[in-house]
Amino acid sequence: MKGPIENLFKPRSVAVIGASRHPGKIGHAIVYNLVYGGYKGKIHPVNPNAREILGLKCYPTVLEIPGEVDLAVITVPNKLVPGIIEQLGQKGVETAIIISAGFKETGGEGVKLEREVVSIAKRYGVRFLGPNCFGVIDTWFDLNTTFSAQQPLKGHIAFISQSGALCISILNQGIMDRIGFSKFINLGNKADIDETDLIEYLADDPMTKVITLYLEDIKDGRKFIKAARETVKKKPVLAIKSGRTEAGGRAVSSHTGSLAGMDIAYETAFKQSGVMRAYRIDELFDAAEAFSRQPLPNGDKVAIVTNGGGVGVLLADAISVNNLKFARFTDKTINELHGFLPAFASFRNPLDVTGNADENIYFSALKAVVNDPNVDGVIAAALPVQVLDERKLAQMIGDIAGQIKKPLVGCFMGGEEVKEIEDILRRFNIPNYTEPERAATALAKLVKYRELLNEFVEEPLKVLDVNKSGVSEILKRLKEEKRTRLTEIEAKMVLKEYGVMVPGSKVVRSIDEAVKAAEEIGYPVVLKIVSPDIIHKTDIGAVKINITGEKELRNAYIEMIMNVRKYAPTASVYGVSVQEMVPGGLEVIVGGIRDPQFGSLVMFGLGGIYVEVFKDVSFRVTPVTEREAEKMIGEIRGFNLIRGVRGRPSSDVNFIRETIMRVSQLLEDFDEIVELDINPLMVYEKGGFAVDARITIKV
Amino acid sequence: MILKEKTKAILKIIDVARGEGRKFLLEPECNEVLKLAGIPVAETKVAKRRTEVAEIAKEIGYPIVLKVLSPQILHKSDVKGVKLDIRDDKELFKAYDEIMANVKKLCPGARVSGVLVQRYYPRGREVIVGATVDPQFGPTIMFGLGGVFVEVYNDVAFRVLPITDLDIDEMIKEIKGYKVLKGFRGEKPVNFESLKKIISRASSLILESNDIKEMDLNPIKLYSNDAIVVDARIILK
Repeated sequence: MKGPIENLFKPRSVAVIGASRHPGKIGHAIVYNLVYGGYKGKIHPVNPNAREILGLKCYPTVLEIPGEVDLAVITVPNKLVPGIIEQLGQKGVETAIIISAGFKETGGEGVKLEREVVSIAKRYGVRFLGPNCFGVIDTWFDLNTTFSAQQPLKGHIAFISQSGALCISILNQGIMDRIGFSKFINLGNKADIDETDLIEYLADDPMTKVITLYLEDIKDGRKFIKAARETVKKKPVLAIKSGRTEAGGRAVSSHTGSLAGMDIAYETAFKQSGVMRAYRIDELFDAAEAFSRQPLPNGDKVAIVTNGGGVGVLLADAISVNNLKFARFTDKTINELHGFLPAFASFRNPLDVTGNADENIYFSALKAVVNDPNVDGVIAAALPVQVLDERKLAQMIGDIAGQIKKPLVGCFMGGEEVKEIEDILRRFNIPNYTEPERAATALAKLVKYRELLNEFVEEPLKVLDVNKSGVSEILKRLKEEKRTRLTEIEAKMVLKEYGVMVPGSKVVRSIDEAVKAAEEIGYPVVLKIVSPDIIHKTDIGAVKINITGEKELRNAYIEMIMNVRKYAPTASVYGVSVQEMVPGGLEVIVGGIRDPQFGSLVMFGLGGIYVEVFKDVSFRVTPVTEREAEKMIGEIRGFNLIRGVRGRPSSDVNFIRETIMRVSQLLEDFDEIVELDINPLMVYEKGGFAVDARITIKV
Repeated sequence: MILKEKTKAILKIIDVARGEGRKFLLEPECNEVLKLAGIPVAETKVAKRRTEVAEIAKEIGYPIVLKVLSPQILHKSDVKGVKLDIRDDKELFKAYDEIMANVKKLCPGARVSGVLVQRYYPRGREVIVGATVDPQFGPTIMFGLGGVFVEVYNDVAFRVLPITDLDIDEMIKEIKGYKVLKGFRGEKPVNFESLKKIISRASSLILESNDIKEMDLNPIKLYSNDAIVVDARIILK
């Protein structure tokens, strides 16, 4: 037994259910592709009305097939699929690909039908890909279960796509661009087998050097992060994510919610699991080509060799934009170059051998640069000039390619002949990019993956000392009262139970009580209205700050009550909170949201009124480790303000980190918290306070 | 357009600075130049001695700001030579003594010619207007969010001079922080007319003086009814 996922790629026998005698039908094309694709296992067409298809014996149902069937490919009309799965179960077929459409993607009846298929499959333990999918190709096993018109080239890139149409166009484009694939998989509706199952399998597939994904959504976010992280330790994973889903009814009443956007959970999940994100299809396959053909660099220092100054400058720009560094040649390299390059050549990186150089001079220069110990990776750019034979050059580079232990990519440019040169280079596993930016971007991904591998450390999650039952009680009361929004006071109580520092405060119901509370707390104080209905208190004048004495307090109290009566006459008011006025410091924000696919995410960013303009925030799927929390802080652009620049004091990073971890733990412990904001968290050189807080729960 | 005689007066101030071998204008000189160019600038007076300070503070009216005045000190905050929001005489003398001590410690060689007493303006939305001379394109003007944000987020718009009112309008709307200037969460919009005037007059100043290499009006505090330059730096060619 090979296991149900392995059966998708390496079945010993395949049944095509809904096989057709008529060319032009999907059921025919699949049998055709199996037969003429060179598949060496047994092929069993199933069709009650046919005796023979393409010379193969036809069976009325799968049950009549003698011997075991490892994989069933189903192309029958949607309504018949549940019955077919039932038969597979009876026959003991472990794995199916449901090509048939007309399920969840059509809504209504289709949704029900899909559910039925899932429950039957579960009952029999049948695993399936699809429905509504294009199928699977394993080039090295000569297995093509799709209705593609062409066969992809053999190679080491696995492509998993949620879109069938994209699969077909990538397949054809790949043939034109001579991109080789190990596997081609279309996920379809992902009713059972999903991206995570496939990544896990491909992690150990020896023919796959790099996994590429086109995703519109992820079924189980947390499962994906875990599997992807393990896979990335073995081989690079690249992903395009499109089709930004509606935020699953996420009611946005917090700053964190409005800052999150719809895509943030994916962006964060990719970052946390080490999946490298691409935003364009060419970017995805440019990088995949490099991964599938070239070794990883040891560092980020790149050398450029060119016979044209302009391309050198363009490449230099692209190198900087992609955060790569320029290698500094050793004296030995420079001396060597002086031996054969004209005096007017540039001996620094980018190395311009000038348009006068012939292929021999270019090759000597390239060799010197490749052997330089300061160089981690090389881009070889060549432009067609009369004196340089690019074909010969490509061949010469190819001849030494096997000995080079660092990545080398080509940027041979200019016209029709490039195709021919690219073919030569590709024979030696050197990918070529006719656009400088693309060469640099691909190389940058190799460097990034090397850094990811270096960065992987298993860090135990620190569990902090908190009072969980205290929070349970507060939330229980809310649920009993059917309230979803905690008042500021309640939110701060929750935070306090989790060890987040909050300023001293007291809720009062009269002016005299307020005066007494202020004396206890000590002037200056802040007055805030306590109401579950007023979220943005400042907007309606329901906050009074820096009150320094009794007279001021009395006036402020009255004014505030008047404002609330005027601007929020229907709000239910629980009282007024008298709070310690904390000194000014650096205002940051720590928040949390809950995503339908990934669960809770914690956020950190700079606070104040500019937070929503610059959206300078970082996210992590919880729980966060100490190191991740530290990275979140360092990631924002405004980190310099935290570190302290130009006479400004530095802020307590340890305090911020701990607050992030405490909020992360709170979100992990209480599923019912859907949104949380500490804004601002006031941070000083030492310590800080959660000055204002909001929490929303689902009841 | 700046009136001819005003241009003359501006050039005279610049000549004085040059005569003293300086490549930059002292703050009172900056303020005078801006005033002549029609740019509103925080009311500032010089107190040469400790005994004068209280009287001048009273004239301007509390709260006030104190800043050290020295031809050797260009970045006053870096030597802790600025004290904000001073509310009475007692605070004033304390601030004065602290500034003198700080400067003596952090910039011991500086010749201190006194302190600037400036009206303190409350927290407003801060922007920056700057000008530089590009070697290829000549004088350019910049507008952006001021304060600490200018360095972190680089939210600025540039134009090559001269510019029209339409250009100014576009510049203002080009930055991300425009949202904040327009008014955010119940806040009123800033006074855009005053802001536009400052940008336009700063442009004229750069074009007509022909002697300024770099200028920073930072911060400019914007309010719903007004706009005022609180600090400025002018560097000569």
